[in-house]
Amino acid sequence: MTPRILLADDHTLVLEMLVNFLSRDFTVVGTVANGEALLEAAMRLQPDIVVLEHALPGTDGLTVVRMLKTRLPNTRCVFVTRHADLHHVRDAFAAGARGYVLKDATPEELVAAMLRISRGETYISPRLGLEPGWAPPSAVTREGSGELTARQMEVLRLVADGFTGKQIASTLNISLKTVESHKACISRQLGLRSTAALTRYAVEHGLLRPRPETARHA
Amino acid sequence: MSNETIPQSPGREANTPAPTPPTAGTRPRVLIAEDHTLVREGLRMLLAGELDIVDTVEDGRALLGAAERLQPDVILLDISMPLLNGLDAARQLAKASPTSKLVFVTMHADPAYVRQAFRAGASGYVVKSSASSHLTEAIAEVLAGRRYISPIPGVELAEVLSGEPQESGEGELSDALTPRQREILQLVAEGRTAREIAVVLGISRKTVEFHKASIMRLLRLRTTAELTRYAMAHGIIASA
Repeated sequence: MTPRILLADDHTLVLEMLVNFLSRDFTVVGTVANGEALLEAAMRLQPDIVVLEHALPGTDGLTVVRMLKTRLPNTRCVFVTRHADLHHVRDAFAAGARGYVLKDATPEELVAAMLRISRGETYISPRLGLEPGWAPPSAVTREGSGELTARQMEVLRLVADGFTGKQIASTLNISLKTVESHKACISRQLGLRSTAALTRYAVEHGLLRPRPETARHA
Repeated sequence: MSNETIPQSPGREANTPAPTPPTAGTRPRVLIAEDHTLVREGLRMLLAGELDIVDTVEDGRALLGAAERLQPDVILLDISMPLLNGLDAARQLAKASPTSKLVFVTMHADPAYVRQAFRAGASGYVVKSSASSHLTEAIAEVLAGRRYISPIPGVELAEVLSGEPQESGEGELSDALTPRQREILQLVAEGRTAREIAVVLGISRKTVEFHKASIMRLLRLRTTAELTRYAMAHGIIASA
């Protein structure tokens, strides 16, 4: 019997593509475009696999995964997503997801991933560069939780606000070396390599706002 | 509207014209630029039956090269793309492939982006929350010399095309910078080093540093973090 899957994405165009890719090896039991419709359809259809994206209108993807984990323990949730950051991956597995496929994947990779998940395995897109043996659910404990300490959060805000290392050191009354070490920890924790990437993370997570007010002359 | 269930085999709406008659050899030639492989291949799969997909590319710079080489009838492009965003690419395509009709296929439903797209030379604009029937309709319309916007709440085609001057706000491209400076700013905000940027643009590292310094002086910004936030606020790189 082919596995029954339910697809959720807020982009109808993408849903149509997923149906095209998956309908040969799976039975697509439904397609939905928001979190509430996904919960309702999942409870009604009890699919083997739910495919979803993080940013669903209404109830977001992570919340849906958490709810389905207790309500439908036999249904496996898989993110097929454009979010390629480690903190999104960690959040997904912490919520109970069984797979994480980037929208950067080829259609062949998507099908292969879904087949593995239907056999009870977990799957993470290799492009995320996670070292082999990274055990997703258990790694979401202390060290790799993606949670920043209050001090790290302070440093991140200042970095994204455009403060130099020296300025951060004097603002927080710590040494430049300590600032650099905080920054390195934050980068590792979030899986982000550059100051630009840290800044984008801070803006995207509402730690501060983009600055439309700068340089309006011209 | 957004919670409807689409059928498994998406059919075209009864009143939607087919994009082109499927006469062999004369099918419209289409180039696709989209950074996500699944979406890129998905577009190809949706359209290959009736259109000639001459190539697919995954960033704005590759788009410029492929368009110049292939001179396609239609170019489908995203707004958020690595190396060179779709809006800046569109402006350069006016020279690189002047007869190609541009159709943006994007997640951005913000009216500011729609206006920017048409100002940059677009003939069509389709949001990814639309069904594929809107995409085929868009392609048919632009090939017939008309313009097309898929249904977007609060956006009317006539209003966009009337070109009323809009105050520059968030999501608008910054007119304070030259195209070259915007290219460099995007690459800086993507976290690339001066050395990497030099390779991408085929210029010297020193020239990159010079441009970066001019941008900072012009915008009165001092750090890479500030440049990144400026790029996000002005639609030069995507802000999620």
